[in-house]
Amino acid sequence: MSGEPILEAEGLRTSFFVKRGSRKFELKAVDDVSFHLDRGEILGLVGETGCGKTTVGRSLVGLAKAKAGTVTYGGENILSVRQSRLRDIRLKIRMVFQDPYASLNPRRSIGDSIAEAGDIHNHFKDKADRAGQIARALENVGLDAAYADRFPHELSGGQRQRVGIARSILPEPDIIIADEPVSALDVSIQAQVLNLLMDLRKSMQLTILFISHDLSVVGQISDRIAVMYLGRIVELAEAGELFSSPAHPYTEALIAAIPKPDPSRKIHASLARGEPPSRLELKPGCTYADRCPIRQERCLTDAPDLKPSAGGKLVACHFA
Amino acid sequence: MVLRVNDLSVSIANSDPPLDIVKGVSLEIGEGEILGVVGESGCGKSMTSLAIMGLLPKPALAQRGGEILLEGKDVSDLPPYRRIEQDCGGISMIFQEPMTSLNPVMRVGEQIMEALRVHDAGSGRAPEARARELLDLVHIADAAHQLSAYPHELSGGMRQRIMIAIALACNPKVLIADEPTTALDVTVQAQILSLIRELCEELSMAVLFITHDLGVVAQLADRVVVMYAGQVAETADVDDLFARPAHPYTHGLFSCLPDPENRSGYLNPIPGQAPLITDIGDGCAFAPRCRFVTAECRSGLLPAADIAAGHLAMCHHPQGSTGPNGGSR
Repeated sequence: MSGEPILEAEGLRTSFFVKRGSRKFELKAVDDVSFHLDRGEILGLVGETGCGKTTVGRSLVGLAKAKAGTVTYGGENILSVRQSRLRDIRLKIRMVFQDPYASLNPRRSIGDSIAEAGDIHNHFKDKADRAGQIARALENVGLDAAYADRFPHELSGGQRQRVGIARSILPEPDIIIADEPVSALDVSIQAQVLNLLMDLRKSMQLTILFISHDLSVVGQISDRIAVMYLGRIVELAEAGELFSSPAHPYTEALIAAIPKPDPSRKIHASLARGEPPSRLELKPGCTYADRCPIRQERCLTDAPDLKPSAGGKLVACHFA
Repeated sequence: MVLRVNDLSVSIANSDPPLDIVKGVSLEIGEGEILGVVGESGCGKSMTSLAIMGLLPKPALAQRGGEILLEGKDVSDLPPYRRIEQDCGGISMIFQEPMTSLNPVMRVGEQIMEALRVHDAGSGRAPEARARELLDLVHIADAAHQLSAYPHELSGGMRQRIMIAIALACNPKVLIADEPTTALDVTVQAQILSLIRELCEELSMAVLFITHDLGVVAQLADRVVVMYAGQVAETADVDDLFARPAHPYTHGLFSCLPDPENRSGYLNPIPGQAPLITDIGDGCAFAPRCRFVTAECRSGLLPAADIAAGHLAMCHHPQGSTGPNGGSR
């Protein structure tokens, strides 16, 4: 990879407020997250349910309102630009969502759905240009241009996700934020969509933030991987490095818990004890301490920062 | 064999000619054995399990043929509550999403005891003592406190443990688990899978484990049935299946699995997509996506190719030994 950052997030914090009875709690979905995307790379963001990975993706483009931090893209801070400028930026940073059934309007033709963002931003010169760009986007994702006149119900799950991708690549973006793009798909179709994303990365010089709960999928497609746990990045490393020598105990547990298609490695109970604690009443100290097999006194009071460790990794653990 | 299913067919009610969602499925499970049924969405794996339990959605679907033998006795005509009962074998079932199976306004202890009372667990304090025993079995510590909790107060993994405890209330000989860990995070999934393995051995149950995840099957099952488009494509011992997958569909499934430990970039997907049931004609349902297809695949009956002892592939062109653990992929 070129190593030239195209987007940098610094100290990102996003909270939601939840009412429980008469009390109001602050749910820190994203708690001081910093990372950057290099031009042309695929960065995997992996973590379990509720760890804040989706909120990170949404915060980057202002779909969730971050209360602190900066996201630098093209020399400006996305989080503080004017609404009109943000709209322009959103043509360059596009999202792909998980559920291709829910994210397409059932009453719009595929072509209209794909062109929607372009229509709103007066992106097309004329009708012929619009039709041409729709056709090109469809062909880029491996669908026939004739699909433009069809409707979502006529398509299979895999085809709908291709349409979702076509919609995001039409304005020729720099960055795609793909939030669980293959989770709703069967393995044989999942493999087709993963290959497509790798192809597009090459042919369109895309940078992709690939968000998923599935570490094996993330490992297959990503150059670097960031592991999140309860709102924080606990480890960030080059993909091969992460699998061969995980440094954070949570990463280790996550890798060990992937069911491997190999009957000689029988199931063993997880390295992580219990389950994640409630997000509403977080204790001080390391968020993983409750489940960690190597916990010490210090972990209960002192939250570790994400800092450089061996092999160019970033790890948030006192004992890495 | 505790459970034997012979030539089971499930079809859309009143369809003529019959539209089969499950077609000629046969399987068997012995005491203390886990049979994994694996396949993609819509392959009929869940409908097979619902048919065994007698829970097919009525009136849309009906069992059209075949036998479901519980210790030699056909239960096809019995209602579900009779299939649960001891005297006719005892089948129990757990589902994917524990939150939708539990009553949200009833304490979980009460829900476990409700199941116990149905099975006549005695009177007075006996059901509560038995409920505590069940919680022990599923490794829930602090039973007194947990019994008085409501489902929303428990985590996903805890809820699934409660569901398993309820399923065990009837001392089942057969436990059907339909994607029980799909809604859980991987670290919790590993805990629940090892619990199921442990219970299967400890209680000598026959477990029918339905999943879409080949990794889960590899780590948990003793034998595996691979389903495609409502039919059994291949059945084998788990080690044998992963060492020598013979059906081209099984092959295809293996080669499109991500393998982060030796990343090779691109995956080898299976071209096309699974057929609609209305489009499945004569011959092999996988033929339109198969690399090895020939004219004979497109019509007539499929042969059951004998690959090894207990290893069958429904295919004219079973493949040689190039599995994920048998050499090149």
